[in-house]
Amino acid sequence: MNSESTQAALNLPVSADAVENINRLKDIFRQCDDITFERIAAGPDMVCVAWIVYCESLADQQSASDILSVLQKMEMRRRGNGLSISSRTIREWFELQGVIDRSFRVHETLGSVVRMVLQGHVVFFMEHWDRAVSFDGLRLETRGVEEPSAERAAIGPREGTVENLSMNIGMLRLRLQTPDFKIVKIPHAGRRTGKEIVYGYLEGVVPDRVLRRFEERIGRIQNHDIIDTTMVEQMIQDSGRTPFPQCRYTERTDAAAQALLDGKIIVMTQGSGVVLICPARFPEFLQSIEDQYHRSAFTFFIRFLRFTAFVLALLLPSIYVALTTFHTELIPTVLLLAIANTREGIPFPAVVEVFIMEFFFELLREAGIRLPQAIGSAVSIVGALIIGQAAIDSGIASPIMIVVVALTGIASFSIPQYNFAIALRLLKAPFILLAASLGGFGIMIGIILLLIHLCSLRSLGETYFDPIGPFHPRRFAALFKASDLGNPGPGAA
Amino acid sequence: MKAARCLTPLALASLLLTGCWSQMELTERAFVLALAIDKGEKDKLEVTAQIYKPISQFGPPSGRSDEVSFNNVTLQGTSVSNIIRNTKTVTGRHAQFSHIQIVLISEEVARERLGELFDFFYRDPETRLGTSVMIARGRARDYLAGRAMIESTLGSQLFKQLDFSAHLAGKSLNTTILDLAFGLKSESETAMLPIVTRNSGQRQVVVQGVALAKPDRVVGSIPPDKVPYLLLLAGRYKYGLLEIPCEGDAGLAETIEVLRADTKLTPTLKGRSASARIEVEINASISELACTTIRGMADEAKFADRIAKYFKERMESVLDTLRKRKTDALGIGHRLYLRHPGEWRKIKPEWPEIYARMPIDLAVKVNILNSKMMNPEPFSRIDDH
Repeated sequence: MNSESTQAALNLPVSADAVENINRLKDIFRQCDDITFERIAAGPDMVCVAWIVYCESLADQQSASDILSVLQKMEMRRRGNGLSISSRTIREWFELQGVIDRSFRVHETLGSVVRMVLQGHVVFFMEHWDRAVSFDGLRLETRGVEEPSAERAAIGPREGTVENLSMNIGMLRLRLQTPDFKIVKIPHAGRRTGKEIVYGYLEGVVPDRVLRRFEERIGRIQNHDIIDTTMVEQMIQDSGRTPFPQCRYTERTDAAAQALLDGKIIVMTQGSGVVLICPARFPEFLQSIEDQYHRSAFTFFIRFLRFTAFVLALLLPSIYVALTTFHTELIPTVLLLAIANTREGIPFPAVVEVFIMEFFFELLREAGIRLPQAIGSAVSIVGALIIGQAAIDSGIASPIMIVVVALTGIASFSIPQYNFAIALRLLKAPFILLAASLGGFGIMIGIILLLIHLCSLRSLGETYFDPIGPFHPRRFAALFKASDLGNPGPGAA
Repeated sequence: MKAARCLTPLALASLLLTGCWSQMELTERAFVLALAIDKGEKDKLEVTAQIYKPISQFGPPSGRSDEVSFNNVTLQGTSVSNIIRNTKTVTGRHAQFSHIQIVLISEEVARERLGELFDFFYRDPETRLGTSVMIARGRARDYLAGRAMIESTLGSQLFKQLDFSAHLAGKSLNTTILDLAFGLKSESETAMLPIVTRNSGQRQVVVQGVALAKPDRVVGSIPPDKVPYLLLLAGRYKYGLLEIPCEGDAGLAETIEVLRADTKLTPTLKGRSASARIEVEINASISELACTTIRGMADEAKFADRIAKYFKERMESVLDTLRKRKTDALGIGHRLYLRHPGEWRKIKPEWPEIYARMPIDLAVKVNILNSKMMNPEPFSRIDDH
């Protein structure tokens, strides 16, 4: 039997013959040794036969024994009536007796039975009954709620999402106690991953056209295997070619709640703590939820600083190359002579030197991310101190170049959204090439092309570069302020 | 792809735009920090370029500090630009002029020609019109030899000295290549240039004194002790200390610190006779007292009057020198031209003569703002109680 015949078997209805059902299931679950089949006989002369199927790696053993005890009670109360049990009586039995405090579902096809088994349900078949009943017996280890390591904040709540979807939804519900907060479940996305995916929004705040477009795109997700929330971005983004991300991510519940209040749509999946926020606009990538918690003067300062960091992370190496190879007259004399001293004896042109050091830096960064924490710090020490110093001493790089590359790196670290910093890392190289070939003109050409690109980008149909292009003075000024609690939100604007 | 088709020609067209197309690594450039122009053999010019020699960071740190960080290249020729172009044959690197800090012209050359020396500087995109020019007593290249007092290069050393001399001491003035052009091309056709010289005793390089150029060569100079009064007359005195000799007592002098000086020049033209009024108002504080006791408002006013009277005498003597040389350094002619352009054209040929004998009314006012001490009398005379 191949996977096609499995597909065929999944469409079959639950048969009244329990043994046949079990045999089919055993065939579907062949070589899945964590699936447990238990035969139970009860009633007078053991005539009432039932089967329990569950995945022992997912379902709680206790759930299975719960069902056994239910059965035993049933037998005691309705001795001899085992043959006449129907779905109605079972339903009545469970509802009236209240012996099981969990919700149960009745299944008619083997397909839904299989799906439930794989979601940790305990499925219960009975002889002479063409239905199956299942109870949620999922027992899954989950992390405790802790501060997300990628989004630490000095002030504000330390609550981060976990890998359990319902816990995440619960944390959000507590933050937004309104029926306007809608949570829509896509129960079983992906043929093999079978993820439960959820999207949420605040009704009345999110623009209708955005929601419509989003729902249109998220509908396609049924056919795709999704491992993590981040993969959803590919479903809903407008352009796959641009280096700029069109969705934001967070693991902070307060950030997710704020995004909902701002008229965004969030997406979460079972088994992932990442919350996707869309549609994202350019300025949002330079903001952090923590900005809202500070006084507005500091918010202005920190956002201005991040904007500077954005420019530095993108342009600093290319500006250095352009200044030292084309526009030396723009450098103050004393600084120029100092740079000339450090450059003297370096065998490479400035642009090669920049690329060597940038490559070196990217390599160190990549090595540092993958390694265990204890070794990772060793890499940064070896990289930064020893190799950096050695590169200078051996005449591969000049000290000023180390400063330029290091400053660029630090600037890119100070951008709150990691996926946005990646875009800057990618764009750095073309800018350096332009600066090396055309100098300041090259940088300007690059900036113009970049602005054209950013202005033409859309995120769920909304202008990505808003409010910078198209320029909107009041909303532009608002970028540097913490949200004024006296003002209506952007949804109303 | 349509966008690419549109953008490619645009991008290519940008290559044809004018611009500073000089891609060159720092290690391919030689930075000229100072220029000295002397008289060479026969009628040739001799140009000395001080070129920065970068000190490599590699190798043993010892011995680095002692290295002289510049080299002088001296070449002869007939035109400045040609000589400068030839420096590459000596340096092997492209000479970069954007960071010249000072241009020295030897007095010998400057007395023959001045304007045409700078033609290259006005034309070339690399040179800066903000570069200062100085007249050097003796051979200009000698000022670029040896060690700088404090700064890393002699060019910046000379520039710093000039800056101090002009702005804090009032012993000279800063003239850029652009100022020179404005001066020589104005209707007064006169420019003032700082002088660098060696003081007689210690043979140290000092920047003091002002050379007068008219219309395209240096015709004379004002000695350092008279420069402050020239600057006060011209309204270019910034700040500095001025001495007033004690009456009767020949060896003693008192000093005031000029905090602010305002000069108002009002020339008038009636027919062919011109006149001018110059009002100078000086705000000063007492810096040193030797023979004056100030015990009240009356004493202070007396002291201020004495200073004003003394300053007026000195300024008149400077004015006489200027008029005797027929150098209109104060720009009176230019001011007249601005006010009466039509009439100016008629009197311009005779202007030097008119200037030499026109009545100039000079008014000097001194305000003593403070005495820096509670007891404003000479320290030696303060009674011990």
